[in-house]
Amino acid sequence: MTKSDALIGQELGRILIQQPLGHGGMARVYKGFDQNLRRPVAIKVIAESLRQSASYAQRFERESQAVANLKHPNIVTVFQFGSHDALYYLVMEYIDGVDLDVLLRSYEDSGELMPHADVLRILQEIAGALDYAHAQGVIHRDVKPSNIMLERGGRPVLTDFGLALRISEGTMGDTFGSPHYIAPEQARSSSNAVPQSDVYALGVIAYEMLTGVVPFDDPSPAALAVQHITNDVPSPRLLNRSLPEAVEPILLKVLAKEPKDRYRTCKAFVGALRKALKTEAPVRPKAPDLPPLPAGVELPPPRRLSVHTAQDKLNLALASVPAEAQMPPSAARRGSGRPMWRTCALQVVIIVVLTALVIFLATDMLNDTPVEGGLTPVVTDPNGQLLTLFWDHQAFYGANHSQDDILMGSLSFEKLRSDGSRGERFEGRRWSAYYPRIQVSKCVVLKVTSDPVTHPDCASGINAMVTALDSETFWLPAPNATEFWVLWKGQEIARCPIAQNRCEVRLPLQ
Amino acid sequence: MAASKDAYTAATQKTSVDLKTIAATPKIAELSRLTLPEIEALSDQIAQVVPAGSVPGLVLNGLISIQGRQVPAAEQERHLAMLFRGIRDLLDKAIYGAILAGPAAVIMGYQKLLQLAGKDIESAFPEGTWQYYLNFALREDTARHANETTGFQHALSAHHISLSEADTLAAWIMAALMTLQNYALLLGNEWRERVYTQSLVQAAEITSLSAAILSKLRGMYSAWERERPYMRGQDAGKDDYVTYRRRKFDAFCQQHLDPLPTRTQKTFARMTAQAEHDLLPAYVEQMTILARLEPGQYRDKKVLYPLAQAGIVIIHRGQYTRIPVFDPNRQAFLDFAAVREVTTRLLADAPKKTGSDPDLLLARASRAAQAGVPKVGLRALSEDIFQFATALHNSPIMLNWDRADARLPLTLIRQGQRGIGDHALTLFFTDESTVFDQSHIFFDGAWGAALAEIMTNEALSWALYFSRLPAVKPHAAPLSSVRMSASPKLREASKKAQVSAEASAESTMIRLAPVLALRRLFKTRNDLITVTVNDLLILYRSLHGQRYSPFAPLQRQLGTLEKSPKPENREVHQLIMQALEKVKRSNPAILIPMDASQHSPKERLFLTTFRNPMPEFLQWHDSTLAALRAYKEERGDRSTLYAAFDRQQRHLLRMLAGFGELMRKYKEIALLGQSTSTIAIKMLAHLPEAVQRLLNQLPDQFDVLNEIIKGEEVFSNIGRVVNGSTLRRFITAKDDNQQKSLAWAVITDDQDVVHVSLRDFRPHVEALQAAAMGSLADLIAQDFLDSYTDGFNLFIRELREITAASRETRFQDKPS
Repeated sequence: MTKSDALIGQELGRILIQQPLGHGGMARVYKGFDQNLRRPVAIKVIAESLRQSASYAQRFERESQAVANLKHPNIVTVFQFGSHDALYYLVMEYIDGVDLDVLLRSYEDSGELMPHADVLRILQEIAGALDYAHAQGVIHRDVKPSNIMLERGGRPVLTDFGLALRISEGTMGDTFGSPHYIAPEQARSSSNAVPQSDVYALGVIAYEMLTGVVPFDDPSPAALAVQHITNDVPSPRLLNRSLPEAVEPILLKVLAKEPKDRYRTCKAFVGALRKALKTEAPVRPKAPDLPPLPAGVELPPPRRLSVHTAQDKLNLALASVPAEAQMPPSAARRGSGRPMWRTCALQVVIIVVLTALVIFLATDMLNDTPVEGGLTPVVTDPNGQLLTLFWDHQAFYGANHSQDDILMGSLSFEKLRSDGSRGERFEGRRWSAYYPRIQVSKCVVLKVTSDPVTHPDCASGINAMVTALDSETFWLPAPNATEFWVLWKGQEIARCPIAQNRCEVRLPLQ
Repeated sequence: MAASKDAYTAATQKTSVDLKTIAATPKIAELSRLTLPEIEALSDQIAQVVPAGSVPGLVLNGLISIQGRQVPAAEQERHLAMLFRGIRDLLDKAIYGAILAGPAAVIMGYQKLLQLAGKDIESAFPEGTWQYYLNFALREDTARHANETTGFQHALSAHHISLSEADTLAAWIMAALMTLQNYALLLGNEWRERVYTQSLVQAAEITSLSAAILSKLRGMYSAWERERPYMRGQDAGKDDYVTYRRRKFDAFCQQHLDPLPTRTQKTFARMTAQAEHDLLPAYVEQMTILARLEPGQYRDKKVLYPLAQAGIVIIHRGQYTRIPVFDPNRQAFLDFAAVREVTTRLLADAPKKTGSDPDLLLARASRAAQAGVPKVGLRALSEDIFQFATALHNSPIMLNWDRADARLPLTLIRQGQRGIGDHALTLFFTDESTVFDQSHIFFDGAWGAALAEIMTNEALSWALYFSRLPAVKPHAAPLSSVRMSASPKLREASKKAQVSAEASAESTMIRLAPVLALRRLFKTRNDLITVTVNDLLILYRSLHGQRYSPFAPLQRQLGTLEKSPKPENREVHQLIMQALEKVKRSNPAILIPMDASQHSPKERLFLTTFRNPMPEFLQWHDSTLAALRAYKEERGDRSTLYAAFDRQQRHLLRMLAGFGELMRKYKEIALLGQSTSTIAIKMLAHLPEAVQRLLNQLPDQFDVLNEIIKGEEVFSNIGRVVNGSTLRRFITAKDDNQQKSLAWAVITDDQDVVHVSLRDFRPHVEALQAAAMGSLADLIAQDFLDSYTDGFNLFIRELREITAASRETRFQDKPS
């Protein structure tokens, strides 16, 4: 048993080391628990072979401080640097999720490529992180899929930040990390690395996400480095014919041999890519094309259909009333043997009934026409996108059972009390802060506890999961509330009985 | 002169002795319907020739299949190198001559004699070798293939079009009627598109156009395949489908013709006019669907009839109702109004329940038995068959209107009532799809699939129309229907004459995208590695047995069977274990049919039989993978491990490149009509039917010959359908060869889902079905297929892991 394995169960300061998470070239990573702050953490312990180097230790500390000063939602937060019994360690934010490399391999196993929306989202957020770091004077130098964690809620987080920079400083003289993502100038010498080296690496990742393969590959790292330096980038559209034409020059530019020929910033690259990918028509599954009618046939002439308007209905109703009932009381025949007061009373009743009928039919007519002011129409669309809602005491779920993505920013939910007042409310914007839409067959979740929740109906995946505030628990039963509203852009589109625990809603087509 | 005469005499005597020796063996004597004196007389007749000597196709394949099943490893490289150089003459004829060339030589000698007498081999095959072969070697019920479309049902559902049952049936009858009326034109389109595209290339070659232009023209047919319409488009106007498609092709062709020099255009026009005059009528007659099959002792005979005598049969609740396509009273073909009336009447009058179905027994009885061969002469046995067949005469298309379950495998769906094997095409219907069951005599896989697509779209067009029409009254007069009756004696005789029992399995678990990704990866590594998707499927099939192990639930069932108190169950268990053992040991000979229609439409298919010459590939693959993983997991100095992995990886990739090249050569040889299988067919030219049958069944008796000519398995991949096609599943035909144990069929639909089907004819299937354990036979087949698809996906992942570079690389750390 190595000393590293012996770390399980050990305490480094207030951190209890619980289980190994993985290892890289220079360090091993463990999951731990901060016993003071009562939260999970990740601990990186530097490789044993490097521990004896004093200059290494100093550089490690300086670099850790530099990284600890990086505050960005997409850069792993460093909490603490320390040493214990000749062990140097870094305590970081624990990211509950998988790394991008694992995700790409799973797409590969299923024979698919990542959807463009996901590609852009991940690249955009990592681009923001890298540009921020560059602005703070830090170059990552080891940007690669296994260094991008994807949190369960969807947030991508750049990890292993700056460690590679530290190792490259002079004394080691060796190349590091995966040569598949290394920029040409960096392949020549680590000291050549510039911010555009990170731009290049991000470009390789984008290339891989969009085609399924990296641009250069060889079992020999040296040969691979040479390829980065000398070989032309293979045409991405040869590898994935469904890529829009506009994407190719963008990928070729970001993978230019000279840093000055690439995009200046990561955001500039991703912005160009986003524009190019948006030029493709969204693939919507549609009903199959129908052939024309057989050659030489003719349709019979259309039948005249009777159209029943509300006025027609009214006329019909009036027509069915006996003629004497339609006559004004003054026109009632005398001497009919019926007392006058009875005739008048009958006529009044008939008039009341007819008036009610008119009012009913008028309302019926009015319901067919748009109203300006006054009535608030209920926006329903029987062909709209189907959002299935289901809930229990732990969480509220929304599952996209339509054929297109659903934007969440326009959705909100509000409890409706029996006295007509409104109760707890949740804005869909909170989900879209993590992920802007619910993808087909996937879910969004609003949970009560801080622990993750799962549901069999969300087996396809969860786009966003947030913890509800007390003011947001609209779906939980309450003595004075039996329903909640579903609102779309502030308009009610459905009411869901809380006790049923399930509700289907049709959203307007977006 | 005297010396050559002596040599001739010696050769003749040797030939005669050789032939008589073979003919006198018990197996042949048992097999042949000829008496021994007849055989001897025939042997003498054949022996009046000089042995031909060189048998290129047979001996070429004999490289891989000599005695002992293995060519010594040291020999393989040499043989493969010779193949790659296309050398047909071999250094060591003696070895091959002893085992293979002798019998083949005498037959070739007989052909030589015929040549001397003014005949030639090709004249025996006016319709091509494949058409010739079909009538006696692919005539049984198991030699039918089936494909399935979903477009009709899906389109109606997606567009919320509701249609009465009578109108739904009427739509399909109209599609069948349109097909019959336009069949010659449909075939004409198929023929023109192939011949014209090829003629344009030839005209360009003759007129010495540039390589760049030639290259573009060679891709013309593939480009047309992507554009070819299978239904009338919105721009069809008043054109029916055949006219519309012709118009589209003419425009496509003109587009390629216009930029070419006038002399090329004129050459092209001359060539195509000549071909249309000389070849098209014969092709249409060869392929016509307006023919019934009359079973003979050795072969089915196609009897043509005119369209006006044709009918369409509807099978519903045990009854067969024949609708003539031509109404002699009105002197006109059936129109849609009449069809709607008929279907309304038919469904209204349908009996409440189905009767017994002796026709099902007859459909699976051997055609020779149906022909009235003494002792098992079914037609001679009963007037019932004669009357039944007469009532359904000249009905090339039958529609079985009893709804099948869409979840069933195609092999079961197609075993509904379907006549007795005299006709070309039966349609079956489920709630989600239509299944087209096709005789191989009339349809190859690709043409059958195309016709299924065309008929589906035609039916849909009629369905749209009918949905807008008012309902009709039923046909005034009652319809005449027949139901086959049969005596117990006939039933018993039919049961005894049943063809091979089968089990079946289907799967959609193969992941295509990783295979395509792997091929892309190969391109970035080395462009000499050119393997197609089908190459990889076949490669893995040849290796699969080495990894196969039945899954646990099946093993438990087999364990129960082994311990059964019934001896017949234990015997069945033994048969199953033999089959499973054989799978593990075998590197099967696989028959691969290839589309020959572009080479020459009348040829239809060429066959090649392939056996993997590198069964040790899997060992190399596994050891390379192990070396890679050892390298990845090592923490210290990995340079030695890396070197070991690198060496193995490069060798493995070379083997893969060699395999791809080998497959390419096989295809090249096959498409020249020179594969062993095709050569073997050609050897039957001009021989008496009895001898043809004798020779055709020889491979059944001699394993080596069977491997070379017919194979133990057939693997038919009709490729990816065009975008928008609704073709889904496909099962291939099995020829009448008794050694054919498995039939694999592959089709990739337009959603890139790979549908694989497996028909299992191994001996244990019949035994299990006889013991009322047919579901176990299906389970065994499904397990084998599932393990193949899972294994293939894993194999591709592993190949990818091996081919791609390692992701993490570490060098030895140096102290500061």
